[in-house]
Amino acid sequence: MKHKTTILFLLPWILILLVFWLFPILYSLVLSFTKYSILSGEIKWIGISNYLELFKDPDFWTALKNTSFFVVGTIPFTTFFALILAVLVNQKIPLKGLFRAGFFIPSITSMVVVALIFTNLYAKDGYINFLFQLVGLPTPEKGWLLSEKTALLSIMAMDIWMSTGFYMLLFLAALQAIPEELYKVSDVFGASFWQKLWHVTLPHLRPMTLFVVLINTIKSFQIFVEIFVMTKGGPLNSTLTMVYLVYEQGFHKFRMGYASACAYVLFFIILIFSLIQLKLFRVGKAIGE
Amino acid sequence: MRNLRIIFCLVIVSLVFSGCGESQRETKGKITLHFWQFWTDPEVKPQIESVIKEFEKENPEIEVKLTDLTWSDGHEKIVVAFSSKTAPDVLELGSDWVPEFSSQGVLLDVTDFAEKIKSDYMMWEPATYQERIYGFPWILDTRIIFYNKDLMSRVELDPEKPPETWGELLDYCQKINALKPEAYGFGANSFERHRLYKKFLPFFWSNNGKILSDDQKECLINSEEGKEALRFYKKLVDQGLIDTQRMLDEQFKNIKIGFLLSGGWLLHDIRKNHPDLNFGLCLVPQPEKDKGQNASFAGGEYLVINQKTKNPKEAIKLIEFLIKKENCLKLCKKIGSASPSATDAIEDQYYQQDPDLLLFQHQLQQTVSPPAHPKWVYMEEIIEKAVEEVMYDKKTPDEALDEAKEKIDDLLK
Amino acid sequence: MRFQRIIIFIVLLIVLAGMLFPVYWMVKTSFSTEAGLVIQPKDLIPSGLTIKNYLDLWQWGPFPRYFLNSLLVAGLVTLGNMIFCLMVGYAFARREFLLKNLLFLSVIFVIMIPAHIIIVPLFLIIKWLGWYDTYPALIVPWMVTPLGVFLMRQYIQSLPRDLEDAARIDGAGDFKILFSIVMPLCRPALAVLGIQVFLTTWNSFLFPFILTSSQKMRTLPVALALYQGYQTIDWPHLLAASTVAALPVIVMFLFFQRQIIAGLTAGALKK
Repeated sequence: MKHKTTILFLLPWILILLVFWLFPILYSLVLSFTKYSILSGEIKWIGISNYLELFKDPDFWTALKNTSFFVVGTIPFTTFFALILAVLVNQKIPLKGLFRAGFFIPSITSMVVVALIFTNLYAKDGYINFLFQLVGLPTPEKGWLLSEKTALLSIMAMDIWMSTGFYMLLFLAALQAIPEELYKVSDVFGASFWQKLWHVTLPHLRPMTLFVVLINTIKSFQIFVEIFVMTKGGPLNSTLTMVYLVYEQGFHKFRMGYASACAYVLFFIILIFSLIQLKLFRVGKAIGE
Repeated sequence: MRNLRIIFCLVIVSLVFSGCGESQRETKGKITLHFWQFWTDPEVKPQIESVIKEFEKENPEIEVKLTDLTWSDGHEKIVVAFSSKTAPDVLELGSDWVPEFSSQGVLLDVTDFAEKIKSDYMMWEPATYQERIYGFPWILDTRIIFYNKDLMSRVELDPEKPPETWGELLDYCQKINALKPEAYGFGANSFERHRLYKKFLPFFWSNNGKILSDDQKECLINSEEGKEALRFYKKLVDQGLIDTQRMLDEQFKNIKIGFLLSGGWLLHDIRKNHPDLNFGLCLVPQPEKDKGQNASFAGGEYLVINQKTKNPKEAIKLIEFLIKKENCLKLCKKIGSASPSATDAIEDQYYQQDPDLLLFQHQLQQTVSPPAHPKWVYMEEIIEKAVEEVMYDKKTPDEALDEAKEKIDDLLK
Repeated sequence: MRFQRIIIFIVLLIVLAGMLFPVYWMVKTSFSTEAGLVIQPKDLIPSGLTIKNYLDLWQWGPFPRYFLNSLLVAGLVTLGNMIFCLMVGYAFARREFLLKNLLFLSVIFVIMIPAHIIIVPLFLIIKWLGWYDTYPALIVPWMVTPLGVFLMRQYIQSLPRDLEDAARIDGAGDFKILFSIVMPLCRPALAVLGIQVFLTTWNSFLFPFILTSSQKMRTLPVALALYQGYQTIDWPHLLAASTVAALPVIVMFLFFQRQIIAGLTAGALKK
């Protein structure tokens, strides 16, 4: 009886997986071992040659470096800001609803439109330079998106701006699950704001923090649209990311086998990162108990 | 809760069935041609639709189904279509895309028919591959120098005397660049894939530089002519601003750039939205008064046929109709600054009485296309990277071109 | 205590201003009479305002149709996910079965592969099903999203089993337990799921663009892409369209956020 309903519960995913996603995943995995020209349809099995070529390709390593930098550079900030904002907005202050909605709005608009707007903001005579000059900070000689030292950082800043609101929402949801009594009890013991935060709030937010970090990692490793719209990998490959490399190889050089190999290397990297995060958080939880 | 689930299942089932009905219904008894094109602008689209309707009137047994492509991602949709064998009968490709597709064998060889009308139209090179023709030139465009007359006056240059040689261009840019940060001399394209080479190669070609040898077995990019061109280009870039094409166009409209290499769309944009801008056009300058040419990049839209089409004859009929001067001119008038591919288009009153458009026509007569080689996309990337490294002072022009030659020679093996 | 709250309020206000700054320019430009996107300090206060750009939207192609398409697709995908992810997540959280870990990994695998790699084989499947250029193509493959399953599993795992056990002892069937008891407890998670799925689906571009071709199946993001012209961008109209496109998401957000804030009803879980 129980088994039957278990299968029924799982059915939606099993069906969708089998019909729509299994074939594409296997198809592309097999392709990564071939030399496949996407247009002419010529296909030849070449074993692991694509992967070997990939590891000798300087563009691959540049893309890997940039992507890793992007991931490691944005996730801590996004998570931290989202968490702080959620805690602050959850306090007894007026206009909570306004703040909640206001912080969320950057996540709503299409990424393409946001990327286009930021290109203007980052221009040499753009608003951001204006603000920097106002407070006497130096600005890059060629422009934010055109100097190889600042291009990737500029895109990272934009990404943090866009994603924080959404993750704040996730943390807000988790905050609601913390029983009021715990705070009341700590008040009785005379705990300060920070003590309550550290001993009551944060431990309860651990599962959500894992979730936020995990999905942010998976998304960040696949960053593409911003690069496509704003810099196309330049200047001097400083914003070349893995998925952009996959796109150029697959859709402009028509080397789908090579592109698939690159995608699968990325897949493994994301998988390893995710498994590490899962392990870390689970270990932490066990200790916490 | 049970009811909710049942309702939900019903909704899904009905969707599935309704979905089946919604797909392209083709009229029985007519030959249907699927045509994918990019002109979805609200001013141009109705014109395309009316031209198509006229075609359908003249050919009542043919029905044309139009699909819109976006400029930003249309290329991807086309690639997916071809690779899944669902490409349309007729489609529009950019001039630099035709060799990509023709070298992969997915376009129909139309040489026999094209030879008959070859002399009536121009710019066949991008559509030619290994001596066979795979597409028809339709709407042409090129790159030309835009300059700001107000800025020229400000630095005491005669605004009615645009530069005719490299020396003059560099000098004028230097003078205007002295006004920075208020204004810059030359607007140089930053590293934008598939775009940067269109801004550098005009100078390269004007100096009689050649990318490949005639038999396409050797790369000649690091010839003395080529190095001169890149050295000059670097000097030009140093007297100006680097940014993406879109931002450069913006800056030019805001009177922040003196000289810019751009295309027909900018002319149309200025006329429509910035009619007060005091600007002029001139051909890409020659290296010296009697040396070299005023060469520019041959660009535009081409109409090609899917190699696997079931209706090649009808497809050719449609294309023939679309590229005819009268029909194409209607479209170009709405686009605002393009040219039909017909060789006698330049003589039409529409161009003769508009000095700016006429200049575009003259520049069109002196364009060069990149070599039609299956690995052109790779060469393009190598050239763009070389130019970028020079622009960012990572390599000297000589070093960059020598390296580029080696890399391209490797590709040609 | 009071002082602390005032500080927090001021800090939040400053952050809010920074966050909304680009949004202000987007909305302002959508009402502007000029053609370009000008983000300059001197233009901070709007001068000439007009709603012409919004009115134009209705004349350029069937904008209401695009809107309805997006609404239908995003709505059904969201509804589907809320029901199905709950089911699948529950199974992962509470049940043991063969190949459980493998199946769970399969859930995560799917989102780790870049869309560009699977777009062609997915296209082939859609074509084979006869769904090219139809609603099912935009809806069915996305009825169960991996993140949704993951979220629901996490959330349900953290719920105490008392109520479910009690209900089972009372003789309630599995589906009844899931939908009458567990679902209400999952309100905050379901609300978050709802917003996330709606937002992602609403703004989804690549798949709708590749899997449909006719005007009547077009969704808003694809329509928005058409305002990026040949080398130029029609800013006022693009931004007007973006603003209109953002409205339903804001409405969904306002609806769902009340569910989030409502939180758990304290009474049910008191031991």
